[in-house]
Amino acid sequence: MSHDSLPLQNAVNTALEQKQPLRIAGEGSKSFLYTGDTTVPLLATSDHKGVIEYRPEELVITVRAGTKLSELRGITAEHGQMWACDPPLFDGRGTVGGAIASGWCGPGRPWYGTVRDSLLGVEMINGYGELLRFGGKVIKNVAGFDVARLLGGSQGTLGVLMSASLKLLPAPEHTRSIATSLNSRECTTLISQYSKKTSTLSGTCYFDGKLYLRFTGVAAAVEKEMKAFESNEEIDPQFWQKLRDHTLPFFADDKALWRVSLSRNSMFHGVESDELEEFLVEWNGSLLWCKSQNSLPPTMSMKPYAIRGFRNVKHETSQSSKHAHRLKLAFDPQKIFNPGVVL
Amino acid sequence: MISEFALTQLYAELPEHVILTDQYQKEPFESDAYTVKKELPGVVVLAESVGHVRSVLRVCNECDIPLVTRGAGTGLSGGARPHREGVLLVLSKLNSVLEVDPLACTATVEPGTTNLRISEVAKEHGLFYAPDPSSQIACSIGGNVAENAGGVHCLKYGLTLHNVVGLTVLTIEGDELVLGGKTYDWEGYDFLALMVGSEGMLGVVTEITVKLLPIPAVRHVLLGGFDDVEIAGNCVAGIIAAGVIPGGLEMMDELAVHAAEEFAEVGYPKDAKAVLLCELDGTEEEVTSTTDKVAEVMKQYDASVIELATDPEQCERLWLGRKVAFPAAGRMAADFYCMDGSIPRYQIGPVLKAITGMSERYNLGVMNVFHAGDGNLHPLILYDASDKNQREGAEQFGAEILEHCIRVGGTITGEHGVGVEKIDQMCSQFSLAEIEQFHRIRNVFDVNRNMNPGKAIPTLARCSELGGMHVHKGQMPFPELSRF
Repeated sequence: MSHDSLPLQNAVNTALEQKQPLRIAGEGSKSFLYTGDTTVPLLATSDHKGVIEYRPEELVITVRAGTKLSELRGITAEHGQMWACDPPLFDGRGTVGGAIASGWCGPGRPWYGTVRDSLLGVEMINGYGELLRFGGKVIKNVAGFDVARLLGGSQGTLGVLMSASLKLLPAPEHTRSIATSLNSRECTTLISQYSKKTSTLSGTCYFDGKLYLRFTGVAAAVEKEMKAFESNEEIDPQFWQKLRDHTLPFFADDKALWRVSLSRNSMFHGVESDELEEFLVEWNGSLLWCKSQNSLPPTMSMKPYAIRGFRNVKHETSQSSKHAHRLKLAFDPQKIFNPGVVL
Repeated sequence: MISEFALTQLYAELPEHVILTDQYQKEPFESDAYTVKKELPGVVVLAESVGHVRSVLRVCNECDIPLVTRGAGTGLSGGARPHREGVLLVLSKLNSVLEVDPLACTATVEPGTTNLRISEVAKEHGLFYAPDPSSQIACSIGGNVAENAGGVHCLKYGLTLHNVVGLTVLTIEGDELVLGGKTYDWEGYDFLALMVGSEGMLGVVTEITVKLLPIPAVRHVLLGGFDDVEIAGNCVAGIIAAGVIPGGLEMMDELAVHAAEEFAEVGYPKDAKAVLLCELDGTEEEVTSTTDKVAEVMKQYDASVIELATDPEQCERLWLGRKVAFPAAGRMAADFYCMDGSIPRYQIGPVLKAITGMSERYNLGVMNVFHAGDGNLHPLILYDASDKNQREGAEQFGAEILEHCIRVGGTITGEHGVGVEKIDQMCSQFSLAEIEQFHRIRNVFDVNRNMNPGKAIPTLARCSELGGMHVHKGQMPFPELSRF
């Protein structure tokens, strides 16, 4: 039992006694996404940090929630490994806890999976002030309901995440990135070929009439695939980090930005529209970022989508809102965690 | 027996031929593949439509009676053991493939569709469904979802959880939840992750969308023979540490090798104490590179034999011995009891040694054939069920293995589920507070607790009765362990 959880556990118990709601945050790198009441006191997890256990041969690391993603990257890279879901660091201060609570992941999502996919186990404090552990640090574990993965994307509404065991992957030995000028229909034709064959493709991004591609893996395999793109422009692999952390020029202005999750079969050809002023597409055409001053262009709402307004936050009423409400109460009956955040 | 009132309600809602009430009709359903504890269902309903499923849910809710859902009945933990006073809802007739979307690389199917059939229909598009439990020819995808089934290829491609992208679920209260789908993310809580592996306690799945992957261009299988089980176990960790994620990495001990050889004569090294089978798949360049790496690691760990199969026929031959291991075990003893503990890989060697010690103490044979790359053990305890002492010994032996798995940082079930089989060990793995949290989650969907009662999540009273070693004043068992 980790005794260093006591300060946070005491803080939660005090809050429960005083019926004082709390706003949970790590370093606040994603505070612009927070939809709850910002006037309630902050419960900072940023001091609850550091590696609890790391066995590289197990491909598993257990870290406290306040550990910075940049630190996690450094430690795992020393052993040639990575947390493959690659969550954004944004201003560089992003933490593991924040990454799990937001459930956001990087440009490799279609190939490497999401945050919860690699979440093997958690330690948390629920709204009863109890320290609980779910899942484990082994790859396969089906004992009990999968509460660990339920916490992925739960935005801190179910409890305070204390630590997590994450499944890692070997980092690719070789990476090449290129850009090629194509229209969106040509992008669809090209990318749909890759979905049917074993490939080292691990990143796609389309904007301003250019398709950016990333290939990662065994050097000989990557180089063989690169032969098809010999005449194309080689780009700095930093491009993918800038895309992930929204530091590309595309994200630099103050216009309202929308994040639209499209069907896996929408590919690229459907996104060019007069109504879309500026857009960027990643995840093989399934994740659209677009700028629009007011609301989303109407053509978008015709597609099957899940939507999260980014700076203009818009929430759809979830189909299972009754169960979402009950789940919240099952973990946090006094509703003290992140009041105002509704999933 | 089910009440007359409930039966009348069922007959009012459903066609007569889907309702089985006679003893001879119900007997085939008295257990799943966990046959130790059997029970005759109150009534069986062979649903032929989602409408039938809705009707059964409504009747069970209104009459306040237990509902157990069953697919193909291949589960190994008794998750589909029927309830004497309830309805057994069988979904095997709901087996249509509703859609294959080659652009999205998904297939949408009904729950009774067999696991293997999905890969068969995907094949014409060059795609396949990765999780492949050994029962894949018979087991249904609905059951795979309920148990979060694994298989040989989960090391590289993930479990059922990682390969199911959408679910339609009906709750006993009559709600329909459409979870996930063809988008990569969605609004709200990840109820999809919660449903996978929930052992039929939260709802009935009526539609499943799975992810399909390109069939690998090249596949090699490497066999390594070792003179020492512990060294073979360490070699598994060595392969992973070398940065290779094989398509499959399986281990068989001496007894398993001999059983397989007698059964199928595949040419395994009979003098080896352990055999590793390592499948490598992907592009040609990738497979060539990783095959070299794995062979090098096997040499470092003093493999006495290394054999490489590169053509499909040779690969099949090497896999055959692994595939026949369970039926081959059936020849070694009157009965065998298949366990399913999961441990960190670096513990494989020491745990196998400990199991050998237990085998001597209980005076019962044990054969190990398992998913070594995942650290997922499947000790097969050999016994004779007609001998009461052996039967009880086998159960105790199994329980001791599971307790040992917890002790070394593992878990009581890697892929078979808790069901009725491991319900007591849940009290060792989880604290009362954690078990109470599971019950609160259950109440979110089923406040009357009629969905698969008595399975997977023990009552608090049951854990308390199991004795002082488990929970005392909220203290975890083995408080000195971090138990992740």
